[in-house]
Amino acid sequence: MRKIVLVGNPNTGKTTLYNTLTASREHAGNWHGVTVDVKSKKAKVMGEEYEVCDLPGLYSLDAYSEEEKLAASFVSDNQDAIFVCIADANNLRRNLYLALELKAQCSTLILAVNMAKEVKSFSPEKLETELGIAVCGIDARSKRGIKSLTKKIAEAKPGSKKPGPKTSAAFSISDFEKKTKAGFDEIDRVLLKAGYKTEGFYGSSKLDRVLLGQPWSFLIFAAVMALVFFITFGSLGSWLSEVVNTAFENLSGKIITLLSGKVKSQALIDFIGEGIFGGALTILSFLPQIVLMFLCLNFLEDIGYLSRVAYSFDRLFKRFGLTGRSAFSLIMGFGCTTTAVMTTRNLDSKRLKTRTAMMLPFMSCSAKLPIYAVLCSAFFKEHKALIVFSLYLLGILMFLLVASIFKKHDKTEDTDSFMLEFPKYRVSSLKKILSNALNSACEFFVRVGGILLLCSMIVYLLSNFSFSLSYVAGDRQQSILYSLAKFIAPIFTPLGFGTVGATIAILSGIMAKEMVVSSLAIVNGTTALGLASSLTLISSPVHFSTLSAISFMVFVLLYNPCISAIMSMKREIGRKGAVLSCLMQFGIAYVTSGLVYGLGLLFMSPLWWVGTIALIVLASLVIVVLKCKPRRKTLSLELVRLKCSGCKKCNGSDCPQRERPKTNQGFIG
Amino acid sequence: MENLARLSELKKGDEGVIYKIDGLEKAKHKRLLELGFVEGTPIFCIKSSKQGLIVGIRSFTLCLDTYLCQRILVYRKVAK
Repeated sequence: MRKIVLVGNPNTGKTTLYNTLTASREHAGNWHGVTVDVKSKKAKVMGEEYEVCDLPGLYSLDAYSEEEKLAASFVSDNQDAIFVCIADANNLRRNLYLALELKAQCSTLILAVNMAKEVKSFSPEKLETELGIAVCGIDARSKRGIKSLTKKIAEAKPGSKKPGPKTSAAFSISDFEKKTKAGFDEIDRVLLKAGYKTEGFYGSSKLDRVLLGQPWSFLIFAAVMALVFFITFGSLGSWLSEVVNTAFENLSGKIITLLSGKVKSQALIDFIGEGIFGGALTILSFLPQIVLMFLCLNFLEDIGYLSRVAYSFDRLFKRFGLTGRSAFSLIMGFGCTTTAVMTTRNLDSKRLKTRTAMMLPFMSCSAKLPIYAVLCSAFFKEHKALIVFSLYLLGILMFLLVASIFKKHDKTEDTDSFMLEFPKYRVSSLKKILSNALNSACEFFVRVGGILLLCSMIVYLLSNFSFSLSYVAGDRQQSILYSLAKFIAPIFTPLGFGTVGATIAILSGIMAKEMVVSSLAIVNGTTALGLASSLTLISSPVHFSTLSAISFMVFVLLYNPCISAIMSMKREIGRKGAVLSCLMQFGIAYVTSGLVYGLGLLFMSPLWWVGTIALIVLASLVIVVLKCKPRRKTLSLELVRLKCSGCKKCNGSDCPQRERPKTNQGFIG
Repeated sequence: MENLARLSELKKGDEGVIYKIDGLEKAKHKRLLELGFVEGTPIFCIKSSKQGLIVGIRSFTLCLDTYLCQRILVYRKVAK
């Protein structure tokens, strides 16, 4: 089967074209570096079956970052495939550089110029004549020109493998400068002959004057995120959640009634009702809020705002040893930590990648959302959005605090630089946003139906059977899970939630964060009662007080990520980094949660002023720790006048050796 | 009239022509070349701030931090 390889510069519409060709719903966004892995799917093009591959974006075949190396090596390993180089019609002056490189290396190449309608002077016929490769104008979003592209693909004949050009390592910088200059001169010549003209600079907008101005950029970002939380957790999100919850409750109620008449074993009915429906349905009740959150985030990335956020945050992030590019991973962390960790491949240096990946679990992923929603509904009904927003903010602050500590103790010199191409602001496509949100909802459904259902069933069985495998539903304290959790629960007593139920929830959350709510519901046996009754039971003093609920949410926010995120971290930063990260997060979660609970107790007691003093002392300590610099051996620099050694190249007075910088460790140079 | 300057010295609305990239690590130097920062390419400063510049080059917009801007030498076009 022949391969169709979609290749091109970042943010040119490769994934959108891939989705069109393969009828997939892969995530596509209006920013640099959405795709970090090679995706492939079989698809029929003009009646013939092909394997369509979508590569991460790259500027040239001389790869720079990890995902670019992956794409470049895929190109060199599959030179006999049909290559479709996607270029942005607005940006041909730069995009064609890769096309010229591919032309020299690949046997079959088609240039698909995306958003062709936006540039009036673009003529595929003229460009085809000048470049000597097949060219067609398309619009991947509206599917314009796709037929012409598929026709060209079907007509493409397999060519012979070309000898690979010299790799970048073989070039010195001056050779590389000559090579790129020749390449760009050729592009200018081709485009001039093809009559291609563009006005202004693609991606710049008057809107940026407001969005990128300091300090407005931060305020606007904070306002935008607050609006996202208001939409998600405000009256709309809560109402939708209640509607879905009522529907699920009615459905599970009817199924259990139906089963009660046919199945005699009460243990089996309980297992289906609580273990299967209970655990999974508790999580599904929060599906509308998760979909709303994804809708908002997808909208922001589709209009091109996220790149501006990365730029705005660059200066701030540099103070913490990160760059603006880390902001992409940080925002992705609001969705899923596993995916966010993968996006760290976009980062330039290994050190930056390790730092960012290790701290990403501090961000509140969508799986933590049901936990906040349940506890906030029970304890802070009036200020739900505010509390959740504060938790998200705490995650970001902790991310930056730990980053600054890393920076303080990193002895290597900071040379992380930031360059980023600005995408054009685009009117968001409702269809695309809905499709992305639907995709996220489907992924969530699959997760609930797969690993979460299995985990729910395991938790149910362990909490209802004793070590002698007898059914102990009436006395759950005899169960396997209770017996094990009893040993661990005292660890969490200083944090205010040293109950068996909370301990089980915390432990099961390591498998998947959604399991925290599910386990709380199963262990407390509240699933059959519905969400409203569950909330009443959870809010009873037996399980949580207002303060311990806050402490519990802080702990859940900061402790270890789920298994899939840990595996993703192991892949990206190695086993040692993943283990260190987990230990660090547990420690930080424990200390922070303990502080929240301890200070809360002090504030609520008549000795509230002690709490105030303690808080001031603590804040001062944090500032002192951040301000103090680790002891480093400083280099003193002085210019030392030297006598010319008689190098025969000078007259003595302007000899380059006459003045040399000398440090306390010797001469430089 | 043209005079040699670092890119970081350009102000909003200034135009220049790339002369060379100086003192940058090989990988970053190559990345800038691939993006079109080759000798003789016109460059336009869209916005300048403490954190770096937003420039227009080869018909697209790119933001660069001060570290990079200080290592790119340009001939600044001065209005007559």
